[in-house]
Amino acid sequence: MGSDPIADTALLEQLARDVLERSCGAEVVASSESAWPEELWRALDTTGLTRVGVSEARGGAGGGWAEAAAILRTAARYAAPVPLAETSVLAGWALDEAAVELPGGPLTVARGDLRVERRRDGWILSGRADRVPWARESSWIVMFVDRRDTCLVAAVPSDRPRIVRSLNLAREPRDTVICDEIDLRDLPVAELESPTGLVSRGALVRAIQMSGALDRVLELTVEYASVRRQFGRAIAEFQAVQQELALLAGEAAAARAAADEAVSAVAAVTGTPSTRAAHTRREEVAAAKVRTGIAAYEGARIAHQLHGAIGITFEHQLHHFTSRLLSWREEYGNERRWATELGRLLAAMGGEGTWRRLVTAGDPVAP
Amino acid sequence: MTLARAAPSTHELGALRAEVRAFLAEARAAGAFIPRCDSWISGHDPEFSRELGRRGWIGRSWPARYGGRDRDELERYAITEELLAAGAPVAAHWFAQRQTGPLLLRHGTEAQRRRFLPAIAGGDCYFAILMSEPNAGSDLASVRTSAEPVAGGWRVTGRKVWTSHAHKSHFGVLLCRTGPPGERRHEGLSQLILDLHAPGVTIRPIRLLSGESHFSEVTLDGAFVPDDMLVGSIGNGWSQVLSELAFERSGPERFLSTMPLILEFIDAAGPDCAPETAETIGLLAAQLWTMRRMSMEIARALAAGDAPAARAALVKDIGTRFEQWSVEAIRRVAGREPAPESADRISSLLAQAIAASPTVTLRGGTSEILRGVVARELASR
Ligand SMILES: Cc1cc2nc3c(=O)[nH]c(=O)nc-3n(C[C@H](O)[C@H](O)[C@H](O)COP(=O)(O)OP(=O)(O)OC[C@H]3O[C@@H](n4cnc5c(N)ncnc54)[C@H](O)[C@@H]3O)c2cc1C
Repeated sequence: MGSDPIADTALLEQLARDVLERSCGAEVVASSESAWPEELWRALDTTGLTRVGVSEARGGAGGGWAEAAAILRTAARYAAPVPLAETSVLAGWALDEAAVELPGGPLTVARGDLRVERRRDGWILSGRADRVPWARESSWIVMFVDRRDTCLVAAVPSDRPRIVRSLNLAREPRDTVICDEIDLRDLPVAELESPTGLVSRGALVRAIQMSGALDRVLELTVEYASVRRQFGRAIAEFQAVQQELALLAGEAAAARAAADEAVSAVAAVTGTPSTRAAHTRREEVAAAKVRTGIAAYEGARIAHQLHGAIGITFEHQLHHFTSRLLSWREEYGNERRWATELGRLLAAMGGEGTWRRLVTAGDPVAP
Repeated sequence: MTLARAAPSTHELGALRAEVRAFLAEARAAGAFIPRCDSWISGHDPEFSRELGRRGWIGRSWPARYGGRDRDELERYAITEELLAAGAPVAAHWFAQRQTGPLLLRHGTEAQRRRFLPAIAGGDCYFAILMSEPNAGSDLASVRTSAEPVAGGWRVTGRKVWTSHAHKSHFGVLLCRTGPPGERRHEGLSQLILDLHAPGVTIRPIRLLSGESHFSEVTLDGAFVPDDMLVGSIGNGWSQVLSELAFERSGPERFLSTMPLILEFIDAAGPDCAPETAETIGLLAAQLWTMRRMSMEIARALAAGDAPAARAALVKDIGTRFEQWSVEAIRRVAGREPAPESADRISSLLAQAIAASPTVTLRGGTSEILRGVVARELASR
């Protein structure tokens, strides 16, 4: 892909599918806790799939939210155990905004109890950030330091802070990063306009990923119900099972629609960095995170119910998807957090204002 | 038949919505209606329907030669949403616009289109949907109402139930047997346009648990239907009904029935509402946004001539479960007792919504049947 602009999301999705089909089999996912899947990462990186959504001027592969979403959704269908979103639309985005060239290797983002102090001619970074995805494997960590109305971002090589290993439910790395007076003088530092940008983007990323994982969970469950036989027939022939399959299909379709809606809303915002910062489409993003979070639980519950005991074994691949669903619904704010924020935003608009906002979702916002 | 028409711009749609809203605000202020839940079935007002017709807001996407305005389907969708959210009385023309119009555009004769469509679009001619019978509910193919061929037409005999607004409509589309059922029971069914005022038609309104009567029992005792009132071809009734059901199941009325309550609740909440209230509003909105997208995708597919039966069934199942949930969620945090005719808006809207709640997952196909449709489609993927 290199410097070619990305023309077609369908082609991009196909490319991602091809790469993942070859390099992200169930055994790669199963062994990822003990072994970093270098080969998978390299396959994604050499095709440029790790850098979609970051401008070419900064060493990205170009493309926007629609393109990035197609790739992230596909990667989630394979439970790809690598920081794809973190490298591209989270860390890559922040560096892009800060006009910093993307370093090589996997990247991640850290935000939490971090602070900076001005000392003589530069900044000193201290504090800690919990649950940082793949900190242990990344080459650089983009630190987000919240200030009053802005946010300071600093790119730090991952050997500068101390890293304490930790996991999420899906046993993906979610490490603690401890910074003890890291000198930022020779490192890229910039000020971003929107201090809340990362959380919003992170929530959208997880919503997209949940919709992809749910598609896969539905596929696995429909397939299993058609081959598993009891009482002399496929369990899919029992009406009780059919009812549950239909509910699962509904949750997968709803998750997809919710994520798509937010992606088109966010993609419709164009213009300068400050127009973009002013129109984060936080309402649509909140709605997507809430709805996909609800679907994650319902979908995982039904899939496990229909798979019976085999589905709860480590051997079977179902849990790679269901446990990711249950982790991702927590990350960057769970349903309650986002529903409450969305509710407050709408309550301030009143009944009529809410209705107006509901029906203008996804309308273009230009400079 | 489909004309190449440009999709309206965001700006044009916004202007149309603003026009509809301004009209609704004025009508409300003038006392023409009081917003209510479920208004597409419970708010019957011919005067109001005629006014919408005069403004070109019924059948707007139909060809101009049939009384439509040749506009994009999205315009019709936008108008429908605005009317539902405002709780406006749209039941009189509802079924004719939603189902009969598209049915005649697909299967009707030229004479039928010229006769009925302009009257429907004018808000002047109302149709009832005569499908269900006492012994044919979910199992619709088992209908027993029969049409015997006679000189110049048919004589129809049988009994239909739960027919929404039959007692206030001019015509009905009657699903009946014109031949033997065949192996799969789907053969020998036809659709006829029945004049509800013809001799041999007896209509008895049925009282609902809320005390209202919006559906009826229709008894047919040898009523005459002329030849030219056959819709589509003889024996093709089943497949015609299936494509009609995609229109019936995927529209915004399958998730906006409680919108007047939801908007009133948000209005009363205000910016400093309690956390549980804010969370409830957020949960409502997140689901609304999602269903709207799903429903609009189907509206586009329908406008392009497809009949996505399983996706429509899925939207109806999710949408109507949402409607039921919305009433409970609001009731839990609103802190008022639901009371019919209460001066407190939320109390009376809650009372309406609670009374209508059990109907939403029955009418238009029960949830269990819809899930069966979805499961069959999944199995065939
Ligand atoms: C407000 C309202 C308006 C209506 N308006 C109209 C109208 O205008 N025109 C019209 O023709 N009809 C109308 N109906 C009728 C509606 O279409 C029927 O109620 C519906 O199809 C279900 O039929 P039934 O009520 O006979 O229930 P039944 O079919 O007897 O079902 C009873 C229960 O059994 C379940 N069940 C039945 N069969 C199965 C199965 N195979 N598998 C699993 N579960 C099953 C159902 O899901 C339901 O829970 C209206 C209904 C209502 C409530």
